[in-house]
Amino acid sequence: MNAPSLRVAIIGSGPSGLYAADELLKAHSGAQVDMFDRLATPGGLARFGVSPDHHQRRKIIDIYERQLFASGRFRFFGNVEIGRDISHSELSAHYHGIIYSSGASADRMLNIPGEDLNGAVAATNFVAWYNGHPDHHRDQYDLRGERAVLIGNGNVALDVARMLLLPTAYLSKTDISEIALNALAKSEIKEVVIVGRRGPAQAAFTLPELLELKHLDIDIELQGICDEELNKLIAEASSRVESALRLRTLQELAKQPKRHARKLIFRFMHSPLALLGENKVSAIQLGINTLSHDGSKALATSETTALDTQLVIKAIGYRGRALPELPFDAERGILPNEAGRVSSGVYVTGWLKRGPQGVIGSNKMCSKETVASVLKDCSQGDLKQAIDETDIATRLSKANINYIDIKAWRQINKTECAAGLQVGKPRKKLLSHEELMQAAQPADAVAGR
Amino acid sequence: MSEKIVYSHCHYCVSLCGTKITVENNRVKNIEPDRENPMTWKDFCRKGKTAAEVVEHPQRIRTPMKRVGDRYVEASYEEAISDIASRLTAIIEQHGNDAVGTYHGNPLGFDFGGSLFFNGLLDALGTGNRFWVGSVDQNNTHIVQHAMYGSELISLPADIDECQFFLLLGMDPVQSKFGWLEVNPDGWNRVLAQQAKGAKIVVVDPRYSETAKSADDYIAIQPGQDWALVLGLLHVIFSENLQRESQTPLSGIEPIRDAALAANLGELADRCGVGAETIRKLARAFAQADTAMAIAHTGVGHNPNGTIGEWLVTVLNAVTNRLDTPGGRRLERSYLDLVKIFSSFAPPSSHRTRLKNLPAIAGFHALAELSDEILTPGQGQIRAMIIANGNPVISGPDSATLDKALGSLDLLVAVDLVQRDSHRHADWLIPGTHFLEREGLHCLFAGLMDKPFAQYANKAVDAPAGIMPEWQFYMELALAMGRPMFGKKGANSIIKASKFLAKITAKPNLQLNPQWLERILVASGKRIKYKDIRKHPHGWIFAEKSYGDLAKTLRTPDKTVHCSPPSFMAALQDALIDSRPVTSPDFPLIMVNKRQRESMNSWLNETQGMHSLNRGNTVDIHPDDAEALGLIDGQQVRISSPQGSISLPVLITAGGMPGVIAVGHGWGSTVYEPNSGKIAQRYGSNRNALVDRHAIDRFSQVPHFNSTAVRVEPIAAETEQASLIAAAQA
Amino acid sequence: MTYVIVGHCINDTACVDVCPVDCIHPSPSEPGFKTADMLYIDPDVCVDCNACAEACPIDAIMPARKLPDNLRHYQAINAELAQGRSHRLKESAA
Repeated sequence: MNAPSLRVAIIGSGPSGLYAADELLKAHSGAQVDMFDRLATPGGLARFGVSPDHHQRRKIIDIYERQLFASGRFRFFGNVEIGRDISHSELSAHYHGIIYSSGASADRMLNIPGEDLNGAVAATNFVAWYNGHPDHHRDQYDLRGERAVLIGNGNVALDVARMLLLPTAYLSKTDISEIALNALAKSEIKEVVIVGRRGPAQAAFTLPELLELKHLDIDIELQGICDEELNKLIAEASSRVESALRLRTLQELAKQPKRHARKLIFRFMHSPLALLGENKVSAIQLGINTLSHDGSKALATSETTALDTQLVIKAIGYRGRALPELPFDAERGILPNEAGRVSSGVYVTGWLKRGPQGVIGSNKMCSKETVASVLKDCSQGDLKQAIDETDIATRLSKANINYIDIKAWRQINKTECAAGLQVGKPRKKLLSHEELMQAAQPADAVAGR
Repeated sequence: MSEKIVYSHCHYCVSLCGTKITVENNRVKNIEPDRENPMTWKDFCRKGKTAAEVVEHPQRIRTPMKRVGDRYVEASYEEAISDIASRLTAIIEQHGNDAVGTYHGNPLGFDFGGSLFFNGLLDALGTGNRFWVGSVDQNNTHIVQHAMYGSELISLPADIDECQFFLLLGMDPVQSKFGWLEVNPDGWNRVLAQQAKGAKIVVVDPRYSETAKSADDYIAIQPGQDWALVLGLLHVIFSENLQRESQTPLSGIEPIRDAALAANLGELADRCGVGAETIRKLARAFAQADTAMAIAHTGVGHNPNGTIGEWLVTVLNAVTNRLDTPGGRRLERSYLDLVKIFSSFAPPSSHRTRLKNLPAIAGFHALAELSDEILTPGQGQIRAMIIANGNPVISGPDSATLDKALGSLDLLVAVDLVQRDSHRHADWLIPGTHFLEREGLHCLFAGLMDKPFAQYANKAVDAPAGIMPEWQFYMELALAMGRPMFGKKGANSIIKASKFLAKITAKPNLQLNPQWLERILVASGKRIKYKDIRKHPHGWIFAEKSYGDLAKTLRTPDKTVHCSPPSFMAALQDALIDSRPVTSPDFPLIMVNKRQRESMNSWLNETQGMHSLNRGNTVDIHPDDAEALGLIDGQQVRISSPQGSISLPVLITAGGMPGVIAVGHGWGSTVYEPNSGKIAQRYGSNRNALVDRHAIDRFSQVPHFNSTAVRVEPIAAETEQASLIAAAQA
Repeated sequence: MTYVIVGHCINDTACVDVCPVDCIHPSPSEPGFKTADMLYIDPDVCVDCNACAEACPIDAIMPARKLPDNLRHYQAINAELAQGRSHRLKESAA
């Protein structure tokens, strides 16, 4: 079809990167995409964020990665870190455009006293740990107390709560990290309190996550709101069906008969004021709130209360990190951009572009917009005309960088799935960088040969 | 102009879904299913929804275009008709009538007026070298219908709502909507509704299709061996005396009964890869069900012994009293007796092909023979072709040879919406119309309906200014050549007179047009009135379905269904002793076809609304075969046959027969930009390039689309990317 | 019957792209898309063509008759969400 070639590098192989690659390959028949990831395994948060008991969602990695590979114009380079193994400018020389889709993996701070005590944990780390992220396989968490407190009214808090409260036998059938599974088997936690500043109508829990609680062996309790108030909120929600359904589900959950060994408490209208303890957390001090008239703000009252706990996990959101040689908006944690364009030839998509919100599929439209910007620049002749034609694979090999190509990744994949099959799991993840590189070894799997 | 709503029906496939079209300023704004249509709308799919994209196709041919060098320039109809007429006349005078060949594709079949007048032109030309798409589609069924019922056109739609047992062979109704030579609206969902009430669904297919996933029993079968399975079923039914008295008179049961009993069940089981016990159970369950039907679509037909397979399926229905009984396959009498009309209006052709001496089927010859008839010198060699609404290079076997043949012609005229592979050597491109721009009553579909139904399709928009409808072009061409339209003496005078009348009265409808013929046909049936049909814009179920009409409609001399046509019996004996495998050490896998709901044969894959889903162009391969070849999902592989090779990505698909790969047809079809000669669109690879044009079913002349022996090899990684970029840039 | 989108939906919208009767909501161009918890199928419009189920990259759509017990409640949820939308459209048209 007489299309000139367009070589694009995509940094980060999570959903936003996969969607961007797909969109680009579909829209431009001469486009070639090389995708890089710091880790040996593609998938980003689809592999390390989505919780083990929500395994079906991980399938998106398989489908898209398969499709990308099937185009014949896509390559994967795992275990390559931009900034460490090759710099942004060195990489750029080989491509007409670079799209950053490296996401947001840092955590937001509560900025309260005691946040640095032992036992005060960021959910970003805890989630990465139970999902077998190789940077976290040495993490240790103290699960000896009876109660854990989670800060934040979103799905991440629910994910963490489920991991802490679900029976080990149930979790052992998921792809949860073996190390985490063993640690959780020894956990003494019987109660998880999810603390949120505002009320149930403002909570970000999504309907499916609430609905599934109905079928789990966990008792549910609501605090900070009474049934009458809940009825009022449901009535107010009326035409906003999704909101009404969420509230009704919470109400139904609270009304279910209590008969399980473990309990999940939703404590609304409370803000964390301080973590108490010497060296390690022993309690959390909470302030009681009221709601502004329109529900948009939590207003502190003078009342406070405290909860004994040895584990406080904050699940208040992710944050992007600055990248070398690129501008950064520290307040929003993103690369400043317009419709995904950072500057001519440099683009961004996903959480690093619009902030850490939305579900997996939200990245599709986001990436379409970014790719449209790339294509617009391409058609207007704004991208560099000449690039270094040397194959990046050659360059990386010469620099002794042991990159993982798609065949090597499939080898790792096969190993994990086969190991999982033996024990009734979808996969048994390899947890350390060394084990992953080892699994990629057989045949001509490791590129550079 | 404000918005208006037009009720009509889609003409892409035989589901004929009722449509509600929103039109503004002669542009289609929206197409949705017409939920007020009492018969058909529930199979509405993306093809119908995006039909307006084809109307506004960026490469649409809007005027006749004449080839100059390797580009095309716009010309007038006057010039086109004059030039084509004089060149055809010269060729006929020098080389005879048969030197002009024609091919028409599926879309012409959906344009009733266009087909009528196209045939009228062919009769005017007097050529016997008429080729058609049926020869890569439904010819088997025509042959079986002719042999057993006495007419190629007697079709029996499935009577789904009364059926307790569905035996589905070589079909994928989740994709095809149960539509193939029968109109069964919402057919698959109605089958599922029956299943919910206790009916059984048995699916026989080498592929574990979406349909198979809903079956009560899925039976994986070796491609092309359905005949052996069905013979096995007959063996059991006759041995255990499970046959039933047929309400439709049958004859010739003894020979096939004897053959079935004499056959060895174990051997048949080995042939088809289905266990003997499974065959026994299936035979008993099928025969003992109160009501049942066995249906075979192209999965059975497009193989060596495909016709035998379809014949035996019909015998199975016949001897268990499933012909024209509730829950079986029923004759729909409809509003006209098509069989009677067509046997007088278009008498069967006795013409045989020059080289292979094969007969015409339903009036037409096989596409598989076309290349050789063009390329081989001698008296009767085809030197000119008219291709109407078809892309035989992609639809037919051995694409490379046909392309070469078309390039060697003295004259090639293509009538179509856009310029495609088969038209790249055309001397003349003549604009086609889209069904949204046409209106009419499609009489040929009347007898295919599973209820008595008629709907006049209303026109949504006018064709772009200056485009002459195809039916008119064919008529004008015959007039310009001074040859009698419809081969009937005096026809041209009538036509000319009607034109004159229309001109002087300024009433264009007084000129002979398809609606005249539709009126005559409806009147001949003496059942309903044309004007009443027009009063039902949403379509009209005009009567209750009835049973028992088959017996009265049979055209066999003794008015019985002939169960053992001698030629089939002989072929069966040959098949029973033939143990040659399809595969060989060099070509160890068998390639079968698969259908995709959103595409229609060789077109619509490239329509914007559809091609964003172009995940369909893959090699579906069994995990065992993938493992043996060391393939990973998505990997590019080369698929080769003695005819050639293509490359595609792999999709590892669990279930189904190992040793069988599935590659869907219709991809790799090109749209050209006539002004520049460049390729405007092409997606995927054409699997028919691998199919041998000489290997055809002896009765139906259909190539072995579902039994092509191939080899699959991984493409080395270094060449993978390079070859694909090169292909994209070609 | 109808098809039903179940809880592990990730709002990918491949289903929206293939639906011939536009019965899956919210589509990317409809209000509420950015904040929707999940997509849903309007059972009154669905024609059971299976295209969405084939398109979904994570098998989050199935015909109602194939819903397992632990997902059956999604049929009512899709219906309720669809009803809410019809209501809203009627109100804004009025």
